[in-house]
Amino acid sequence: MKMRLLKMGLSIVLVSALGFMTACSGNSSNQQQGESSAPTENKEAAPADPMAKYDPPIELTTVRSVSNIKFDEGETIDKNAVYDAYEKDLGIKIKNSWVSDKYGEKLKISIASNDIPDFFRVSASELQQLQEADMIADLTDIFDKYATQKTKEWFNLDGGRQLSTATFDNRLMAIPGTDNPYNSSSYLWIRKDWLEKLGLPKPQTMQDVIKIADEFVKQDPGGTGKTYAFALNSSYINNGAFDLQGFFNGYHAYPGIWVKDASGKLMYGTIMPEMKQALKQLQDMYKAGMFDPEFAVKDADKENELVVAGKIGIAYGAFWQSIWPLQTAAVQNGKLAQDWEAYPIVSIDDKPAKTATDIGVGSYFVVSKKAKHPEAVIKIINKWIEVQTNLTDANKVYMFGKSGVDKSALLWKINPTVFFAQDENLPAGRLLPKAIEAKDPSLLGTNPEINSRYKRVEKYLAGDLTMWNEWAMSKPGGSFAIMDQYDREKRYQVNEFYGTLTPAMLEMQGILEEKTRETFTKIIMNKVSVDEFDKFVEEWKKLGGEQMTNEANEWYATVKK
Amino acid sequence: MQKFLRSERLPLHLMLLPSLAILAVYSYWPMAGIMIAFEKYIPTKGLFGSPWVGLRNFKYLFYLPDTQRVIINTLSIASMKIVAGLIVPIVIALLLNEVRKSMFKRAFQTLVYLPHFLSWVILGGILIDLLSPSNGLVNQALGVFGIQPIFFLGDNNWFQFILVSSDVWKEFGFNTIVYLAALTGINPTLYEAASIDGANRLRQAWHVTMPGIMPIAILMVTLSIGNVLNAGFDQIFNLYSTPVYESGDIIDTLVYRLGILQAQYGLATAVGLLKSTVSLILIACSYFLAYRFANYRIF
Amino acid sequence: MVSHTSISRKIFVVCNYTFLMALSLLCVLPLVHIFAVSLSSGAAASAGVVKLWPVDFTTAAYENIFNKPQYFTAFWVSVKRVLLGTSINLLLTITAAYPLSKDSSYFRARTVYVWIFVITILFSGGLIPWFMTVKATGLMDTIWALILPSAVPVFNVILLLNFFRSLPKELEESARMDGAGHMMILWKFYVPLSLPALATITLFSMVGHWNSWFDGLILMNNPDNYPMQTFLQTIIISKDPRFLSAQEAELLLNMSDRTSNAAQIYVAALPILLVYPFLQRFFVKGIVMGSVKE
Repeated sequence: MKMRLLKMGLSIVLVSALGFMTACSGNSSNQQQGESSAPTENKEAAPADPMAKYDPPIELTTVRSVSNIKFDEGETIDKNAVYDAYEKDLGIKIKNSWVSDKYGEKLKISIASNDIPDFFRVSASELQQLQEADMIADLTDIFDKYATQKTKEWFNLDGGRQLSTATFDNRLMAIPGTDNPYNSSSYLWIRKDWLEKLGLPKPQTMQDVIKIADEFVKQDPGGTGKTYAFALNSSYINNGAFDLQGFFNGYHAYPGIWVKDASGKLMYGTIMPEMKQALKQLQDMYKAGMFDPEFAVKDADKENELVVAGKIGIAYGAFWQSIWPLQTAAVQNGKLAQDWEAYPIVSIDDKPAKTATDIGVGSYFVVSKKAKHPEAVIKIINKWIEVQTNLTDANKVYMFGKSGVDKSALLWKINPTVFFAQDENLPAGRLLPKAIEAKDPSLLGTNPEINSRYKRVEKYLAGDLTMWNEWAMSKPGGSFAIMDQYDREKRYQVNEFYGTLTPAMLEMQGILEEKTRETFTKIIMNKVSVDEFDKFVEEWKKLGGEQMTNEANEWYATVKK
Repeated sequence: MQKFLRSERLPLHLMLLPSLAILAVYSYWPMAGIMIAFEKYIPTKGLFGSPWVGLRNFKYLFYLPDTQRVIINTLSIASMKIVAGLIVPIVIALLLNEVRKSMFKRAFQTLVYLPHFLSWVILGGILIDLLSPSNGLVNQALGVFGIQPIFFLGDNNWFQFILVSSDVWKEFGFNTIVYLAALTGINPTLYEAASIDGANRLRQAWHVTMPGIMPIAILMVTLSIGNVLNAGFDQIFNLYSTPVYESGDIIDTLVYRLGILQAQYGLATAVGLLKSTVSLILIACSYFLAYRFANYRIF
Repeated sequence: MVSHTSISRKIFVVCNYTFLMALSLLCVLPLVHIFAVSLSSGAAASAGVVKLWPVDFTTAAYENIFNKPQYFTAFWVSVKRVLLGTSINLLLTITAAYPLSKDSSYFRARTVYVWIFVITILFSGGLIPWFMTVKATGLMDTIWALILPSAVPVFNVILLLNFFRSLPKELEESARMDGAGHMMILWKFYVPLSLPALATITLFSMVGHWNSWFDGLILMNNPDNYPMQTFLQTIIISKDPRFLSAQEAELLLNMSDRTSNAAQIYVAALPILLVYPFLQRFFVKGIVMGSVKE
C-alpha cells in the first residue's frame, strides 16, 4: 500500500537493507553441521572441573533459528530431548528468548535495543559491533579455566588462527564457530561426456582448459546451436557456484584474500598484477562470444538454466557444486543426462596452481557481559566437542535426539553451539574413495557423517540417481579426494590475515568490493580496456585500500615470530 | 473555556482525539530517534547517552564515490514514475468509465489489480526472461520486424524506461481504483447539462470528468512527490546489474551495496532524515503552489 | 444520458474493449505462469521450462506450507488482524477525516492538525526507536502490536477528507438548520454518501494488513504469533550453498526457491482476491443523485 510505503518505506527500506546484510551473514552462520574425527577418550578433570553440573540448575538464555530441522513428534526448539539432556548432564536449562528464521533481522533489533540474551551466535561484523559497544564478555580466562583439554585441542588444530579472528588486543572476546577452511577451495568441474565425445584429454594446464573451452564452443557438443565456455553469474569473483576463483588462482592471482608479497609483507590479492593477465584472457573470451552476455544480470540459479539446457560444459566452483546447482543439470527425467566431473585446478605455467581458501569461520558465539554464568557457555561447548570426539550411547541423544538413531532429521542442529572440525572433510577424502573402491565400509571409522555419505553412494551405485551429487564428491577422484590431494601436495593458499577486522576494513571493505566488481565486470565485458585495471589499482589504494593494507601489516608484524 | 466547551467545534476536536493519541505515541514519540543521525549510537548508552558527532554522518555520505550519479538517477527515475503513474491510471479510468457492461468493468478491475501482489523477486525473474536478448519474447517479437535484439536490462539507454514501464504495469491497477472511485462521485447531472449544451463524449470528458478528478489527481501527485527519493529499491535491486549502474543505481541501492547500513545506525538515520527533509520541502512547495494558483488545498 | 451511436462511437467502443482486454490479459498472464510454477517440480522450475502450464505436476510446494501446523495459527492471526485492524482503521479514518475536511474559515485549527498528520508520513525516527516504543507500551507478542502502531492510516485520511470535501455543502447546511450536531451529520449523511470512497479505503486497509510481514517479524518473539505473511517469509528453505551435510541436500531436490516463492504468492494473495470482487459492488455511480433539493 502506498501509504505504508511512504511512512514505513523510509525505515523499512533502510532496515530491510540492514536486514539483508545480516540475513546474508546470519544465514551463512546457520549452516554448520556435526563432524568428528577419530574417536579418543574423554575429558580430563581439571582443577576447576569444567564439566561440573550446576546444582540447583541455572538458566541460560539464547536465541535460535530452526531452519530445516525435522523435529521429533511433539518436540519443538523450546522443548526437546537435546535441551533436556543439557539440563540433565550439566544442570543448565536453556531458554530461547526468541526464535526466528529471519535470524539476522531480529538479532539486529535485539542488539540495537540493548536486549541481548546470555549467549548467541553472530557474524564477524556483529562481533565487531558488540565489541565496540562493550556488550560482550571477555572470555580469555574463562576459556582457559573451563575448556577441557579436548576442547582446547579442537580449537587449536589450525595453530590458533581461527581463535585469532576473535581476539582483540590479546583478549578472546568470542568463540569462533570453527569449520574447515578448505571448504572454500575451488575445483574445475567439466562435462566428462563432452570431453569423451570430442576426444579431448583431461585438462592438465590452463592452456588445456582454454583449448577445451574453445572446442566446446566451436563444436557445440550439446547440439543446441550455441554453446558457452564457462558458467558464470553476477557474483563471479568468489561465490562457490559458477565463479572464477579457481580460474584466477590458475594465474596465481588470489582476489579477495590476503597473501604475502615478494618482500614478505601482506598484500590484498585483488590488486595483484597477475589479475590483469587473467582478466585479459576473460576479456578475449567474452569478445569471442564465449560467455553468456547476460551473466552479470543473473544469479547462479538463472545461469543454471543454460547448463541444464546443455549449453555449458565447464564450471569452476566449490566441492559441493554437484549438489547445487549441478544436480538438476546432471540428472534429468530420471536419467544421467550430463556427466560432470571435478578436476583439480590447473596452472598457466609450471608452478602448480594453489587454490585460495578463507579462514573458515562463518560465525562466532558471544557471551553477554550481563550473563550471570558465562562459564556455563564453555561447558556447553565442551559437551559438543565431547560428543564429536567420542560418540557413545550415553551422549547419542545430542546428535540424534531421543531415538538415538540417525534419521537424517538434522537434530544435531538443536544444539545451541555447534562446531565443525578444522580439518573436516579431509578424512572424507582420505577414507571414502578407498572404502568405495574396496566396497568395505569398515574402513570408514565411526564418524556418522562419513558413514551416511557412504550409504548415499551405495544407493547411487544401486541406481538411485538422486544421489549422483554424493557420488561426484565422494568417489575416487571426486571432489573430496581432490581436497585431500590439495592437502598432500600443499596446494592451499590460505588467507594470511586472520586478525580481527581493522577499522579501515570495517569502513571501506564493502565499498572496495563493490568497486572491484564493477570494474572487473566492465573489463570482462569489454566495455573498457584491460589497462583500466592499473587505474583501478590506484583508485583502490586511494579509496582506502592503502590504509587497509597498512593496518593489516601492522597486525602481521605482531604475529610474525 | 466555557465558550470552548460549548462551542460547535468541540465535537470536531474530540473526533480527532483518538487519532492524535495514537500518532503521538507511535509516530511522534519515536521521532526523537532522529537524534541518532547526529550521534554515534551505542545501544548500551541509548538515545541520550551516545556521543554527539554533529554532521559527521552527513559528511560521510557526501564523500562516498558515485553520490552524484545516484542522486541524479534517483530523481530522474522517480519523477518519470510519478508522471507515468499519474497519466496512465487516469487514462485507463476514463476509458473504463466509457464501458457499459458492469461485468466487464468488474472483471477488468480485479484483473489489473493482480500484478500488485507479485513481489519484485518473482517479477525480476520473469522480466529477465521476457527481455532476454537471446530468447526473450520481446526480442523475438522485434525480430519479426527485422529489429536486432536489444539487451534491455544491460543497456543504459533502455534501463530506466524498463523500470518505469514495469512499475506502472504493476501498480496502475491500484491507482485506477482510486480514480474510478472519484469518477463515480462526479454528479451525473453535470454530464446531462453538458450533453444538452451539445458537448460530445470527448468534450464532456475534458470539461466535466477532468475537473472532477483533478482534486484527487493533485493529491496523488503530491503524495507521490513526497516519495520521490525512494524510487523503488525492491524493483531496482532485483533488476539491476553492474553494466547498468550508471543509469539504474539509486541512493538506496548504493547504500545497500556498500553495506553502509550494517550497524551504522547514525548513517542509516541520516539518510532517512535527508530523504524526509527533501520530501517535506517538495510537498510543502506543491501544497502552496496549488493553493496560490488553483486556490486548492491539497489537504 | 443520451448518446448517439455514431460510427465513430462504435469504432471507439470496439477499440476500447479490445485495448482493455489486452491490458487485462497482460496482467493475468504472469500470474498464470506463477501458478504453473507453483505446481511444477523444483527441477523444471530451475530449468526455466515452465511457461503457462505446470511441468512435472507436484503439489510439494503447497504441501510444504500446509503441512506446517503454524500455517493455521498464522492464518488465524492474520484473519484477526485484518478484521480488528481494518475496523479500527476505518473508525479512526472517518472520525479524523471529517473535522479535517472542514474549511479553515470554520474550523481554524484544521490546518495545524492536518500538518500534524502529514508530518508523520514524512519523518520517522527509524526502526529502533519505533521498536522500543512499541515494546515499552507492552504490546510485544500481542495482536495489538500489529494494529495499534499503524491504527491511523494517514494516506486514507487524506483521501477521505478530499472526498468529504467534494460532497455538496448544502447537505450539511440543511442538516444544520434542522438542528443536527456534527456527529449526526457525519454518521447519518456523510458516511452513507461516501460508500465508494469507504470501500476503497477499506480495501487498502485490508490489503495493507494482510500483506504486512515485517512488523510481525520483529514484534513477535514466539513464532506461534506470526501473522501469515511473516510465517511465509520464514519457510524458505535455508539455501546456503555451503551444503556440507549430505542430509540437507536431499531437501533441495524436491523444492526450489522458485516453486516455494510461487506457492507463497498464491497462498498469500488468494483470500484478498476472493474478497475483492465483493467490495466492487460499492463502486456505483450516482449515489449522490437526488439527495438534495435544488
